[in-house]
Amino acid sequence: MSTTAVTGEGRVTGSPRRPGGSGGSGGSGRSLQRQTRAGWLFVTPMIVILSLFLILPIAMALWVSVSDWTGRGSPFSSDVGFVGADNYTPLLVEEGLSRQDFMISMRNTFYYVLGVVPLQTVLALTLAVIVNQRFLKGRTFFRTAFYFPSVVSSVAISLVFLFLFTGTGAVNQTLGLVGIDGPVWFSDARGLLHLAGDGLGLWSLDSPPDALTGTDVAGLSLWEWFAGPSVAMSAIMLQVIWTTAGTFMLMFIAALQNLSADVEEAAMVDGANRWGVFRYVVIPHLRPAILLVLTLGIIGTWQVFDQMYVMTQGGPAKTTLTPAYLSYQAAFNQQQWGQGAAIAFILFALIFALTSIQRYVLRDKDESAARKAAKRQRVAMLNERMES
Amino acid sequence: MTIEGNWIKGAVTNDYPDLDYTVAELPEGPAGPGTLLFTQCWGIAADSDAQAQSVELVDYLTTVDQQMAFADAFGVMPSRESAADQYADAYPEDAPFIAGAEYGRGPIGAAGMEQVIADLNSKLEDLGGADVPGVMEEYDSNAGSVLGQ
Repeated sequence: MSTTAVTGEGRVTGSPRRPGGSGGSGGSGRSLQRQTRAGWLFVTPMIVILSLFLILPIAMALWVSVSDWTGRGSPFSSDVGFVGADNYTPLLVEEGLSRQDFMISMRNTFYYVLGVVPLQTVLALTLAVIVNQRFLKGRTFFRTAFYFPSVVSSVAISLVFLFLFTGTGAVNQTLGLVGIDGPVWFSDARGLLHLAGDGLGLWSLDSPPDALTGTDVAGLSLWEWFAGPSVAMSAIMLQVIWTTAGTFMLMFIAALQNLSADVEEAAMVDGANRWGVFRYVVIPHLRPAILLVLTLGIIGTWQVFDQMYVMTQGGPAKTTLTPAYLSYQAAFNQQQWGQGAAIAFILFALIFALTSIQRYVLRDKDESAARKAAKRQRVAMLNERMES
Repeated sequence: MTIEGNWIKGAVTNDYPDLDYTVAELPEGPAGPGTLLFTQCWGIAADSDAQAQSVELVDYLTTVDQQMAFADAFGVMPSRESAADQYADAYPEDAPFIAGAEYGRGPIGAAGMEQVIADLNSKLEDLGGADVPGVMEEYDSNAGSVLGQ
């Protein structure tokens, strides 16, 4: 038995075939009608709840994002006018403070996602594989310990991290033991890429190259675009990786337990070493779980809000500003409800686009190839039949 | 030295009762004397059923007597010019604050200015390394675009 056959089998057990469907239960037309009615009856509560608490608020927010609602009274009252894309243009097209802030928040969150998503996925996978060892003592303890941060409120964790990362906090004390003079994390606005370039001698922080500072793209200079996450943002990233890795570890464990031991043993009999088993048996088996974790990671990280609200309020020097926090600030602090809603919808569009791209890039190529081949065969058969 | 309003008096008497200090006006700049003045406001809801009564209440709270009562209780300076003399008599050590009322300016409270001031503040956080004329220019153009609307 070759390894590819093993993975093929693993996938079949991973996605059980759908049960027989209507086979046998169809009966006469009348009973089918009754069943349909009963079905609708049973889903009605959910439909009502979803439309009341999900669809209606989303529709309302969409309307607010194209209206001049000031936050007083109902957004559907007759004094509220339709303003078209007026709430969107200051964020995307018009030069000014709104666009500058929005682009800064986009830049910050981009680096944040780029750092958090891969690291939390790798960490979660590593933890899951370790905790899933059959012969590990105290597995339950470690599972609970790693999962614990996910259960604790993010506000409480943020407060603890505020103390850990103060200028004289535990982190800097530890760094001090090995002779590193740690930064004042949450008031350090310097970007990591700026610092790296400075360290490598590519440029100096005090006099950035004119080629970068002179060129503006969407209201920010290239120098600012390539700042990287600030030191303050990196501290938040560390916290989020630490917190969420536990949640995703649980998903990986669930997927790993679905992989029966004999499959791994069979691979070993075929001569695969431990790394080979991991690389060619476990990882392909985990593909759906990895896809899920990456998707949830991208969606969750682009919406990051709690940490900024509790710890930094967008500072220092706006380097922890994120679209979600900016949207909150625009609506609730500056009473620009339309613009706040517009930011939220741009963020939604962005997450939707990124998730679609990511799903397309990480799609199961064997499976989609097989599906295409099957389709081609069907078409060919149809053509044959029509010709004959 | 610290630049503060007279609300600092309460904190000083509470936390540092032995601190020996005097209050002085800000030194005059090239464009004449200047300081920041601002006041906390009473808000009356536009949709309130009891609007007239609310206005009456606020009128009463801003009379000279009431303003002096606030000053006695919190150490803030009264919001009415007609109470200035009474305040200066009661608290001669705070006379420089009252003197500042002659030439002080309030913050710009126009809609949209909050964002502009927040932006200026975020840039001042990095004052050591900041390009100050550039920051002022940006503030000027941002404020201009908000106020010009």
